[in-house]
Amino acid sequence: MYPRSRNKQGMKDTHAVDPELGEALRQFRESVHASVERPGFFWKRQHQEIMARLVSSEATPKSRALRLAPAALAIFLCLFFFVESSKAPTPDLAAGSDQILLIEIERALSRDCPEALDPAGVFHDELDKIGRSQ
Amino acid sequence: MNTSVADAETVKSTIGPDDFDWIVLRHQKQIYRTLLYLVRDTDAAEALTQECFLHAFRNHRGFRGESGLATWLVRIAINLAHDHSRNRRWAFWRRLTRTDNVEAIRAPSVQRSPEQALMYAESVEAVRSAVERLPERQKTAFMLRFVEDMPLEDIAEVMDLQTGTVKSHLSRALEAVRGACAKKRI
Repeated sequence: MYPRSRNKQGMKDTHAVDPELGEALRQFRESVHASVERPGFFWKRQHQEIMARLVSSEATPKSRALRLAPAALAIFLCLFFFVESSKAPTPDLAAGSDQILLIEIERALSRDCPEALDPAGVFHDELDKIGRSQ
Repeated sequence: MNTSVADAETVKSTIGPDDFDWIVLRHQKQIYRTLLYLVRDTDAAEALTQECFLHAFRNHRGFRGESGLATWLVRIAINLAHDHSRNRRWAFWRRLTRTDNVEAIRAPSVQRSPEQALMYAESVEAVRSAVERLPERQKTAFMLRFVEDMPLEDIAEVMDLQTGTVKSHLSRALEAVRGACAKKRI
């Protein structure tokens, strides 16, 4: 409980009430204190229970970690598989590029002139048409 | 109170796990009373008293001695009581059991005439019913001030409020109680 001397200032501030109300408050306080009166064994039992919980909580960090280990492992594995499965399939670049190159070569061989000279080919065709018409 | 224990508490600015034996012995009654008054349920008050000391034990390094040990523990208890009140499941259960699972506030075993006993009971009931209707913060401030005799500065610390705000809560609470008492007399 609080020392009366320390409490004096506070008492001045809020206990400045009329005597009747002061008496009602005093009786109320007295009755609340009386309502939690318990036999000695109640407090002894509660003390023992609290101390038992404190002791067990002190001993638990290791065991708690052990208890949580399987759950943590399961979560880790789930995350791992989830991440793995959600990755976009990587195209087989090597095989794809070979195939594209072969197609390009085939196209180049089947052409009359190289692709880079296509505009010149068109120009030549146009000149050829003009010459024939004249 | 054991003087050596009181001295130890005054001097100590830090506490260790070994101190909890006497801390529980010395403060369990006040914590239980505070919690019982706030949660109005004996079973919950018992369980929360244990939780309070367990929480204090786990966080004992957080106690730096700026406030008194009692203030620190009451603060934990009040936070637990508020968490408990916020829990809807418990709130429902409490509404159902409110009048059944808590002992009625009773008169201490003092010899009184029947008339005196009746007046005493009426007076206490008037205050109790008025306090029950108070908003949570006013009720807490009232309880700490007038049941636990806690200084205003400590109430402010426990409730994380300014001292002026505590005074304001107390003033409103007192006004409500005064009104209820006056009504009872009419």
